[in-house]
Amino acid sequence: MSALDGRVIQRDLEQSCGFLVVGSGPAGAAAANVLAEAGADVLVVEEGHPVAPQELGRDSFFALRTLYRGLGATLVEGRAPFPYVQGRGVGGTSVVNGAISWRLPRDVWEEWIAADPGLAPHLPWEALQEEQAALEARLGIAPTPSAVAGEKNRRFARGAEAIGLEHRPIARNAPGCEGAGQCLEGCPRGRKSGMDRTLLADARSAGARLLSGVAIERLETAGDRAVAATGRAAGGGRVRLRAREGVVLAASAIQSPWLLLRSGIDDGPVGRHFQCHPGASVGARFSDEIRLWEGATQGHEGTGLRREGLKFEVLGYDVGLAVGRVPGIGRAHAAALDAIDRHLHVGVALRAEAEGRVTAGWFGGGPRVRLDLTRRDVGKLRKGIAVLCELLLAAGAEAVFPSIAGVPAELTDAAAARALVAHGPDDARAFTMAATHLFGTCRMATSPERGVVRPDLRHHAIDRLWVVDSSVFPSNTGVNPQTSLLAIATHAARGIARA
Amino acid sequence: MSWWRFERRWRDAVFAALYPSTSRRPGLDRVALEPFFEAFLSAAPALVGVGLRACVWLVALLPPLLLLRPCSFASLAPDEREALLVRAAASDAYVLRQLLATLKLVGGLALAADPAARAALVARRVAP
Repeated sequence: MSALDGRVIQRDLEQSCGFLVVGSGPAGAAAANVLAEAGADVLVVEEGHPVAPQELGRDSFFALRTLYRGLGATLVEGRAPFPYVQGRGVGGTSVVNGAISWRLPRDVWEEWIAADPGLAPHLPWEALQEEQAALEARLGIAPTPSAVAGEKNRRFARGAEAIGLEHRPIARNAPGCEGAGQCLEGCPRGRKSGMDRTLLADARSAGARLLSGVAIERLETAGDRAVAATGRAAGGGRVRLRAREGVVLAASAIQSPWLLLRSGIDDGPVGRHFQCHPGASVGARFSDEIRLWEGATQGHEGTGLRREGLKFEVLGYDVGLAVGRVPGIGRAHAAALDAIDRHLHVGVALRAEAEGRVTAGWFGGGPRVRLDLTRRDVGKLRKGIAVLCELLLAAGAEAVFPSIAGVPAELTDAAAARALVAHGPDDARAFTMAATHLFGTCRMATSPERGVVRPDLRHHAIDRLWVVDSSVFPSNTGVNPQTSLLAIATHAARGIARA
Repeated sequence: MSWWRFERRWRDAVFAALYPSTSRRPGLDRVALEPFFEAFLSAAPALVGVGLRACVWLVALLPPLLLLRPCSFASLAPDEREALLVRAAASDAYVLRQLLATLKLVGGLALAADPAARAALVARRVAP
């Protein structure tokens, strides 16, 4: 149950373990837990630091500095660049996400199997359901109780009902949630079942060691076998970690392909097929108080258009992030800010068909990510924004703010909102977007030409190397991937433990 | 890397114009920005730090480009500064729009990091 903090490592350090798990987010925690419980000697290495309770639930600037990668300003490049958001700390993004939990949709699983029938024996639907059910129990996943929903979630539900959009309280891994509204700053009440408090803690109880504050920069191979990883500790020392049994890569769909490419392991389509869920937000002003920073951060969702690739969610965040999203400049903005307690923000997440690429970056630098939305993606996004405008107006908003360049900043009638679908811009640069949920860059496939890892998540070319994070997903899912990711990583780790 | 004196003047003028004070709360014209930006630059990846400075430079140098006047943003009158920012935010040029959106987001973080401004923003007008 030992832990070592890289901030105190100032000299060169070499350690040995059975399995080296790179990354302590959901995938790494799940794999480490299975392996440690099976009796393996597991070392989890994490670039971020342990999060102290007093660091949680503070303002958004503090959270961005301490709990997010690159201040939350990491960028998807392209014709219309937009940021992607990743947590960085022990527990990874699970510490700062909205705790939204979805099982892998059956239709998405069927798409995967139809595209590559060889996946079916390694990804059996029933086994995934069992894994997901067990995880739901462990993480305390349940629909958001109305008592902690807050006005923002209730208002969204009212609007969805009024326009006939299928909707429901969001199932979240936040048992005992008190509605502090600070999921994205790390729950200050300790109610979120982040990995730091659940599966990683379980793994450590079963004997897994944790090395935090060490950024892995390269994987070492001997012949065609993964044998070690090297990196740099936050304290300045070089670190080499030898893995007798193998290396399990769980560093995310950005960092995992980057590590492979940096290490010269460029077999298969590594870094290609990058997908994500770009999202846009719509604001609204009501005549009464909403206080979007109060109540369950993301407690209600609209699911009626999920199969079209559109999912709607209430957005809740610290007032520091909210103020920049209120329309206007200067004194007009300042006046609007004085009524920020009457604003509500909601978001649409797009299951974009566009595929991009992660590359190793220039001069040995960090990963570069590139993606350009397709025209069809932009059309869907337009529809999503129109639906949200209509929903908010139906919920009683005085005005809605679609945040689309070339469209009036404020809309007050549903017909104008609906017109966005047909007459809105089809250039991605007209929209303000951000992405979460990253996929596909080391995808699993039966053939080494189509995938980086096999269906059991073993690397196609390198022995004793597995990738278990969302980079192995054959496509994006259209829903929040944490639960399906946990299930897939857990299932694969059982295979690794048996191997 | 810390800000040069002239950069600081440009930066403070831009953020003061973006987030002016109101009768209810202080804006960035009344908040000490230096501690925020020191913390920002020390935490930001190098590219983000460079990007922020580039945003400030671009806005500072907009008057010659948009107004055809050989002066910096900081030397404009307050009304002119605001009018320029409104024009830039509504520009057809994607880069200009994104630049303003970025500065607004960063300014929002700075505003809410100030205890007095934050308290005023989240204060209840009426008892629940």
